[in-house]
Amino acid sequence: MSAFAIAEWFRRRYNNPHAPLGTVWMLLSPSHAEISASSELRGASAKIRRSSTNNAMLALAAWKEECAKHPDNIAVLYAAGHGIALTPIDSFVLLEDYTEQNQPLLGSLDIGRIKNGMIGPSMARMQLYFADACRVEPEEAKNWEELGRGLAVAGRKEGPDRRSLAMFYSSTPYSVALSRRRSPTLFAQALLDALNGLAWVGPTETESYWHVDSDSLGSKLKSRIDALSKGVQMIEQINQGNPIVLHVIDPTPKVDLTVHCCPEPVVTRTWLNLRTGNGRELVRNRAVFSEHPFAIEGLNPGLYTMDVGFDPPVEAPFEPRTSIVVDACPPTRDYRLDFS
Amino acid sequence: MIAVSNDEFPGTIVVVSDRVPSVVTFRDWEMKLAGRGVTPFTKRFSPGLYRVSLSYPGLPVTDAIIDITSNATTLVRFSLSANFENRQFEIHAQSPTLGKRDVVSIFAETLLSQTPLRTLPNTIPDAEQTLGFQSGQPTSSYLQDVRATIECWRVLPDGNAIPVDDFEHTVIYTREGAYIGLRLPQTSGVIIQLVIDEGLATNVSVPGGWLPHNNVVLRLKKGPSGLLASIELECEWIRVIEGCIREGRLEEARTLMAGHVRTFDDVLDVLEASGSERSTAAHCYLPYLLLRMDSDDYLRKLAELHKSKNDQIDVLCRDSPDWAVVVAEANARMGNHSEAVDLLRRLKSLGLPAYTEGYWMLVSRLRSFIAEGQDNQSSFDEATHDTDLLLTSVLRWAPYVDVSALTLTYSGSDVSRPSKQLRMPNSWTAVGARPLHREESRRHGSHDTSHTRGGSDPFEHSIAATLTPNDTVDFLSALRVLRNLVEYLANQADARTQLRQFLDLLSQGDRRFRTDEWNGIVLRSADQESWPGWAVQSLNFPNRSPSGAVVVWSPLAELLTSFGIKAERSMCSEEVYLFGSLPRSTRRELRRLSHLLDETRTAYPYLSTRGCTAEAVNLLKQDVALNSFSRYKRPAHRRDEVFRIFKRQQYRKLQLPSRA
Repeated sequence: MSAFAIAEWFRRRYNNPHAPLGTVWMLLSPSHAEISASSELRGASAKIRRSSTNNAMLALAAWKEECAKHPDNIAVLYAAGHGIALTPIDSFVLLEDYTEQNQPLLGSLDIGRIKNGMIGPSMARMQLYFADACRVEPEEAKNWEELGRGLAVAGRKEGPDRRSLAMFYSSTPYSVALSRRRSPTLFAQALLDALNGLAWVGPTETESYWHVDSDSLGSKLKSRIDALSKGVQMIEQINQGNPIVLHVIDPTPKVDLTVHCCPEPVVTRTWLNLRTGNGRELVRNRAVFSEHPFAIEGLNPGLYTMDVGFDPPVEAPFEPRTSIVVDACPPTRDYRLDFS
Repeated sequence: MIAVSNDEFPGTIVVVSDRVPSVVTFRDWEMKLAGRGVTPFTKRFSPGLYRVSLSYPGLPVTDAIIDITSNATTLVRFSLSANFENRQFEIHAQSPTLGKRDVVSIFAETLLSQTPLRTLPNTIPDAEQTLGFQSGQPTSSYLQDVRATIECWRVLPDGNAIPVDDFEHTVIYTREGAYIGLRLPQTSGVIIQLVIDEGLATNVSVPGGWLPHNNVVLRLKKGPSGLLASIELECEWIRVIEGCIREGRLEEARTLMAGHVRTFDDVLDVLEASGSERSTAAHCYLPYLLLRMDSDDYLRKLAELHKSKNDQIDVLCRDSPDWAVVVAEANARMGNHSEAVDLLRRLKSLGLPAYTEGYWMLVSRLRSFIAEGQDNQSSFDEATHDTDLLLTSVLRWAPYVDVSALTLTYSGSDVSRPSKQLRMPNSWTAVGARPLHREESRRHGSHDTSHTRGGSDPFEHSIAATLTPNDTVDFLSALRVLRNLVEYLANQADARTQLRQFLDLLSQGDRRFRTDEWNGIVLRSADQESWPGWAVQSLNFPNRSPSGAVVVWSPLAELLTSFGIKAERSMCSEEVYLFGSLPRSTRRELRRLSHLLDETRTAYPYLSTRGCTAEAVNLLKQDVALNSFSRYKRPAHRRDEVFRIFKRQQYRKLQLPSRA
């Protein structure tokens, strides 16, 4: 379900003029509960190949070949499922048929080794890996030798590794990655939230549009996972090279700001001033609203200061407030103003 | 409440972090990249809101929204080393709270010269001030985007090399680039390789070599675009220290100095080298470093510094309390106790040392002198009294001093009043380093008033530091200081002089302190708070009260009463009387009389060459009484009585010293 949601996001919303969407290889092995929860997934699972070892091997080879067509490509791998780790640097994402293999780990994706093998002439120099699985060490695994090695790809060494890459593990070594029943994993939810606005950052030297890059993604994924899991789950991130611009937001996004006052004031007597963060422009001048909460739509993203006043003056607990800093980050921003 | 300023004057932002160097990124209100650098980061920005992000390898990115105000310095401290859950910004004094829920760390360290007195307790010496930069110029532009790996190898006799792990390194960023200081376990046979990871298209290596010294400095020079231009190998730590001192990076200078300064002359070279770019705070710290070297040779040289023919050194010893303390300490350690005492007695006029180390050194040495003086009355009899007084004054600060601070820092609701009470949570008061030259301090808008030199107590300088004549000082704040001063000066022999001195300082600096309004405020305060007689007698009285009554000092009031003019009421325990309407000529003569008495009652601002019993009374007799009060048509014997009363009052009320 998580992989499907991520793939759908790429299919429908991904935008990057520097590297338009190429091919998506999707393997799905949804559970019955997941199929019953999502009609879209039910429809897709009937057509899409299962995430078996053979299918994964073929898809990996095709993906690698496609990525190696131009160094400016961006390679993205997202793998979700059950996972284990035998050492702190492992992350094996188990495939559907791992129990049918002679050596169980032959039926898994070894994310670290896949990353190692994604090198070679004209290989995509920007690579993003998302391993959304537990990294626990099963008790039973300690009783076995030669569990095998997960699937990987082979790459040709060519001097120094000049790739820019970011790897995101949804769990830290020997810890679990969480999910709710019939929902995408917490990591997938956080990733979608980040891609849909949480990790949007303003223009930089290298990108003139608002965008999502690997740095902003890492920063917001951490905080979002922390919030969703109430501090239980932590992610691990490995960076190499420069930040990778993954998603470009064009045109510049607008922010819908909603101001909630608590308790609710007399709407017709309340006015708002909104000023740009440099204090030079008055975006809203004593704006009066017809209903509460007060909605200000179509703001340019950025920092603003807001004044709230009452005309004629009202009684306690309401009082005029000035220079409230509002961080209007896209796509929406709810601001709660507590007068109690 | 914080007002967003439209002012075009930029504000200065200083970002520091406990992990150095961390990468700082600034985005303006539109989220456009406004600047990038490494901590400690100093730059001037247009006023407004900014988002500051800080990143350090291996730690999550941390960010905050800050409000840069015009003509002010904003310090943001990031603490990255705390646990992830507990990591937070330090909340500083002056953090705006009302409505600013998203702002987590703002500390407007407004310069003293630009701020009213009420904000003083939260000020610390500003780096830009101590460096003497010209305003409007960028304060700092550090080497950017350089990450380097330092590798050290020890070459074995067989030609093989093994890695050296136990070396220490320090990275110091300067305006010209950066220094990487290495302290190696052995003096020779070491190869250093510096591999630049970022910032350049290709890797750069420093050619390895046999090193003559185990303290090695690599100088990374910055090119025009802020990127690395060249790497040089140096062995002179003193140059690094000099750079640190010039930039006011005293903590680093202290660390480096303690371990690396080789010769006394090196330090003096630093002084000479800095020349006109004298950094007061830095130079005040040099003597402590010299003393810490604990070498007999240095001690001897330090002890003789105050006799130096070198102008530069002479000025230092004469004008800097820190130098005075250290040179005194050196003399004491060398056994020259009398000279040490003399030097310490200079502190009465120089004020408190700027550095905490100096403060404790002073307390410790004064205590030992007093103990010595009590044991040996003959040699220290004269000095013991002074040192005792000085110690008493200095010890007022002792319980409230933050021992961990580099510069003298203490808690209190007032600069001049150390106490447990904090003006705001997390606020401390820091005594700024005092400039060495009056002209210089004025030119750079420093917060010191050197013209008050000649006072007799460190306390005075705390006040002087807050009351620059050019400052905007409001009445309430000044009154608060005045009140503290009266309380503090009680029972001191020259209390009257000092109070007068302070009042004159005020009135010279700001014309508002020459008005009836101000004088009335002080008088009412004195009345309500029952100030002692000597303090009331030192005040300037308003010519007229708001009700139109004439305010008259008690000796003159008795003079008027003797002519049958009744006072409406008395104030300040009968030190002052209010009279109803008086003819203009009488009021004019009263002012003349007041002035005359004023000259005779204190030694300030004129030396008391005129005896009150002789000249003042004669003048009264000849000039004032015979002419001005003749209109009251009193018989001659009443006039004589008036003079007698007046003369008696002078002795009794004013406690004037008899002429030697």
